Formats: sequence, structure tokens, C-alpha cells
Amino acid sequence: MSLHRVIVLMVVGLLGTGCSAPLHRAYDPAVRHQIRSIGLLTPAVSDEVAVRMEVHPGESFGVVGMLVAATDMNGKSGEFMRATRSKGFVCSKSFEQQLDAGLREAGYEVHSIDVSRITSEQQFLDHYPVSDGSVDAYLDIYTDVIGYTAAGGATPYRPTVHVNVRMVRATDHKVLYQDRIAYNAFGDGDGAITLSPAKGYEFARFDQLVADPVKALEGLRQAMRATGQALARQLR
Amino acid sequence: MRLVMLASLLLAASLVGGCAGRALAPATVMQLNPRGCDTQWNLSSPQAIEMDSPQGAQAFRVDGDVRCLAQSGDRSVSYAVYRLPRYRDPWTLQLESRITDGALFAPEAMLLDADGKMVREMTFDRFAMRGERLQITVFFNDENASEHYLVVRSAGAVVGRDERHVVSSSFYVPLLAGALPFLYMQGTEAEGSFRYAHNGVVYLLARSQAYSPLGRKADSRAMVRSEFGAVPR
Repeated sequence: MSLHRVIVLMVVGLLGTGCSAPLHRAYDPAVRHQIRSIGLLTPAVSDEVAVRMEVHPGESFGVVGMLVAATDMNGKSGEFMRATRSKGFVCSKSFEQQLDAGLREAGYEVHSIDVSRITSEQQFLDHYPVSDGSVDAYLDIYTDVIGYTAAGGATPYRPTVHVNVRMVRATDHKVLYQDRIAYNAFGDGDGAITLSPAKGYEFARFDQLVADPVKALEGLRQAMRATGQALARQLR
Repeated sequence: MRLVMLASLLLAASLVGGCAGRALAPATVMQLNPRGCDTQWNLSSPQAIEMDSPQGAQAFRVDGDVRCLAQSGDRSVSYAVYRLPRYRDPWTLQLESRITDGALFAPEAMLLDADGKMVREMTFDRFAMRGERLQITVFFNDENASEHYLVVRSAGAVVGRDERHVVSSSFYVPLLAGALPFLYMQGTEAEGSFRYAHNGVVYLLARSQAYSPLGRKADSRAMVRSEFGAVPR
């Protein structure tokens, strides 16, 4: 990643921290009876598994420190990706499987619908497909982060999945439900549904995380499963 | 001399204030004695829920010592009864319980008609944890117009259960390096747990669809559309 890109990302990141989380719209059970089939639109899930520190010690030391922090985190993400790649883990596939299972458990008929979107974009779709009558609602999902995060330099890395969800009625695209689910949230989650990370998958140091990719990936799968189940509970 | 007396008075007042604050926090109730508990929901003195309160959520204490219901199997639950606002237009009720001193009131809710017959039930698993709050939003539409009472009760099956809770945060310390000021930032976390209890405080927030925080009653349809309506094409 070029220096220019890192600086732009940092500026965007700083500006972004001032923005509030997407609006929360609870799901009305009265609507639930009208929604039997869901069109799961291609989720914006990046295949990059991130390794992050929410507050990196380097960030204390001005622009140079922030650059050091960004470079450090990029390097760690890359190293973790290389360690897990050989295990056949595809982030987006695994995420969709867990989500699909959760929705079916909640009693929905699920159809995957391909839409063209940038998988790394962190926003809902601007336009939804015109209904052909095959589904009652569309589910639009993007993730902020999938990977391992630590709160700071002296805290363990834990599996982290932050998902933004919006369900719209297929016929008129009215928003029926909108929420954010944060597995291992930082702070109070800013209004998101928060899920505490499972105890068995924390790594005190980064070298321990990359040394055991099998366990690390199992922790991520569990985080995705829990997130999918939390979403399904909301949509029951 | 006067200054010393004033300082002593302020110190004494602050100590008393601190003690009073601690004394207000009631003990966490994990078990209820079924003796003395009601055998059916007592709806005789419901507390009123205010619609579109400018003060925000209303806080109510639920306490097994005040009102409890004996259930089968020698078990009891604490409960509180509220009178719903008269139905005019669709509205929502946000019900939440917050972690206090390592304990969290485990809520369940029921909606009853004027005769006390249960119409809807929101069991514990329908609530979602949002940070320190366990929360649910209940919708009231035309078909719910007959609902008259809200009963909030403790979820007996989960009371006493411990839940793991990881709380992360950050802090900033302004420092000087020579003549240069800078902010030292650090991310921290605390791992602990809380326990579900029969008692605690519930917060109820009733909002009509037409509610506007600016004090104006907006057109309900326009309001809904502007917040969550059809996505622009």
C-alpha cells in the first residue's frame, strides 16, 4: 500500500470517527408474517481478514506515529492472511454460509441474489433490484470488520465481526429493519447489538495468533455463527 | 474560624451524600420467597406510561419485595404493571434494563387487554444486548388497540445466571515532551461478568410515529418516510 493511500485512509478514518452508526430500525413482528422468503443480496464482505488495534500506541506520536501504526497493522493483517490462506478459508463464503444457516433456522426461505458491488465498500446499496415476485424482502449487508482486534497494545486479540444489516420490502424497497451487530465491540458499541467474544479464542500477542491459524479461524467462524444467529433472532 | 466550619460542614455533607448514594443502591435479589406473593397478576394500581415525554425514558424500579407472583414449582417472579397510553395512532415502546453494580434485571414483558387476558408476550430471548443495556422495541398498530396493560416481569429461568462481559475503552493523557505537547492514547479493556437478577430498574420510552424531538408534531407518514422510507432510486 502506497504512503499516499495510507495517509488518505487515515484522514478518512479520522473523519469517519465523528459519524454516528447507521440508524436502528426495529423489526415489527406484524411485518414478519408478510415476509416468508428473503433475497440475500451479495454481501459487501471483503476477503481481507483484518488484524487491528483499536488504539495503537503509535497513534500518540503525531502523523509519523500514525503512519507507523498503519504500516504495522497492514503488515500484521498481511501476515495473518498468509498464515490462514493455506487453510482454505474464504471470508465471504464462510460468512454467507453462517448467515444463510441462521436465517433458515429463523424459518425463512433464502435465495442468494447476485448484485454488482465492491466487496470492500462499507455502505448499503443505493439501489435495490426490481421485484420479480420471487422473494418478499431483500437483505442488504456490509461488514465494517472481520478479523482479530485488540483494544490496545497490552490487551489480547479477539475475533471480531461487525455487520450492518438492512432489510427492505421487495415491492417498494421500504426499510423494514436496520441494525448493526458487533461481535467484540469497542466501547459500548454505539447502539449496536453487542456480543461478547468467546473465551477460548483470545491471543495475548500477535505471534501467538499467527502461530495457530486453525484455532484463530475457528474463533472467526464462531464469531460469524454467533452474529448470524443474533441477526436471525431479531428477524424471528 | 468560619472558613474551617464551612469546610467541615461541606466535608460532612459530602460524606453524608456519598453514604446516601450508596444506601440507595438496593441489594441484588436472586431468590424470592413465594410466600406473600400474589397468585395472579395484580392490575389494581398500574403506573402510567407517558407518550412522547420530553424528558426521555421513564425509569421504574422493579422489586420483588414490592410485588411478586408465585409460580408453579415453588418459583416466583417479580413484576410491575403499567397502563398503556390510549391507542390513537401507531406507536412504539422501547423497554430496556441496564447493568448496575454487576447485576442486570432479567426482563420479560406481556401485554394484557383490559380484562387481564394476555395478548402478546416478549420472552427474555427477544431482548438484545446493546452495550450495557438489554433492550426491545415493541410496536403498537391498529390490531393492538385493545391492549391495555404492560406487565414487566423477571425471567425466572435466567435469574442467577452469570454472563461474561468484556468492556473496552480508551483514555488520553496530555503530556509534554520538552516544549511539545502531545496526547498519549491507550486502549484498555476490563473483563468481568454480571448476574441476572429479579430486581433492577427498567426504562420505558413511548414514542408516537408523529413524535418530533423539536416539539413539533410532524406528519407521521412523512416522518417515517424521511427516516426509514423508500430508498431513493
